[in-house]
Amino acid sequence: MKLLKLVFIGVFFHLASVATATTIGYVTNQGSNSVSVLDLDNFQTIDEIKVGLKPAGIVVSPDKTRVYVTNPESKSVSVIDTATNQLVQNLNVGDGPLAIEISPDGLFVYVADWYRHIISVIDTAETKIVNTIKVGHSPAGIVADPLGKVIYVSNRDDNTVMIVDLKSGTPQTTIPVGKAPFGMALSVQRKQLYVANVQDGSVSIIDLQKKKVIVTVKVGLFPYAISYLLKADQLFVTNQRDNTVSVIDLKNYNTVKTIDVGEYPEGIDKHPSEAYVYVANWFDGTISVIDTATLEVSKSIKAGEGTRAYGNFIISK
Amino acid sequence: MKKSVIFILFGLFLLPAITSAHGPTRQKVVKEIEINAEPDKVWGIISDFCSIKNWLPPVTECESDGTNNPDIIRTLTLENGEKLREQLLKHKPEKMMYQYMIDEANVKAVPVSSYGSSISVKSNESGGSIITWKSGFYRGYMNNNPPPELNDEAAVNAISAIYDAGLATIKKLAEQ
Repeated sequence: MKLLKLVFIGVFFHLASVATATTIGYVTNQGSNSVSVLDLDNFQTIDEIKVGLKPAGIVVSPDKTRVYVTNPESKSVSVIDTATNQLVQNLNVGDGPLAIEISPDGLFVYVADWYRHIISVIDTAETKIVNTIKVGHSPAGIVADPLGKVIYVSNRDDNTVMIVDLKSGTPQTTIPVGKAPFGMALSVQRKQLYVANVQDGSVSIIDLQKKKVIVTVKVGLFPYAISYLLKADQLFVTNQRDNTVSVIDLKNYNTVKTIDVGEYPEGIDKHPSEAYVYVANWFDGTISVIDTATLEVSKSIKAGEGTRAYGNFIISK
Repeated sequence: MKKSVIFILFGLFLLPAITSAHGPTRQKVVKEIEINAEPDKVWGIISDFCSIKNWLPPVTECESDGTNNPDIIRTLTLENGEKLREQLLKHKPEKMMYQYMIDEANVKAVPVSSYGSSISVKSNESGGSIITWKSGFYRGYMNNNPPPELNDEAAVNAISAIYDAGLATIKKLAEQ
């Protein structure tokens, strides 16, 4: 009887915690040197955190306690505590930080340096740089493999993607892709990596076992960043100069819809349930909310000036 | 006394950080002008991609294949002899707008890189028009620590001045 009661209580709390989980978006505002905190369940801004200068890239930690932001203009990374939504540290990282990613265990943050052609590895426990890895020219995107052994880096000025071995700290494979590769996304299920090629308006689909591009899909003008949806088996791609998002069906590798969003869409990320995709529109300072069932914009949320949110910027807690 | 000394020292410490800190940051310019003429008339002045030679003062020549098809190139010659190639991306008469980009940067013509722009005409409440001309771009010098003539401010100032001059001329032509 007692046990039953405990089980009931357990189930109740479990349900309650599911029902009350809030989804929060952390959005870099390049023009206001801040990060907007958005309540995505109620479609409103609830806080604004001052960070470094001209923040662009962003990543949330797997345990949801930290947010890391790159500040290209102040050459630093800002660390935000998500419990208090306060800035806890600024770490100088050097010349051109833009793309940022975190290891699956949360122990390391990777920052791509646009000018020095390196990836800086930050130990998150001590918040200091413990290693640098030489990659190609102007690294623009990083994705960490969930197994934790490698990261994938797009080199914008080399038109390549590198598979970087983390143990040895060296690139082990270089894969030619389209022109000016930038944002990327990964599918573990499909063993594929997706790369937005800014200057030729396409997405390269890399087979990670063959380690080469197997399909190239045409999208809009200046594709910038990609989100992968497991349930729908689709890619959502922001087209910066088309003010659209291309939806690619991965069964046939064709575009099933082109959705009008705000101006200069850049960062893109999904709700953990995959019911919504969120797009940061740089020119408008807004977030477009795409309903993934209807493939239409259902809401627009005002954030700060020059929203970029380049990276993973959504957590549910 | 002590406090003010500390403040001054602190200020001096910050100074070099401020002057040397630069990264690749996209800039934007949006300019609008109200015109006392119907949208059709205003659109007629600007709709042709090469019409820019009629309404942008520093442009002395514009060469293109004469169409407004997507992807065509216009080559502008400026008063100072510099040339600039721009590519038409979209031309939508039904929306009275077109979008284009600089095909190959020439910082001697305009101190910007990776410049994309659109211009559009809409009607205003009093039966006239509003033209909106806007763009996103980077400064002319894409590495760190740009010379002053190729920094963010120079890029924004140059584009702002071009837009002001162009819009004022369009207004004058439309209201004649």
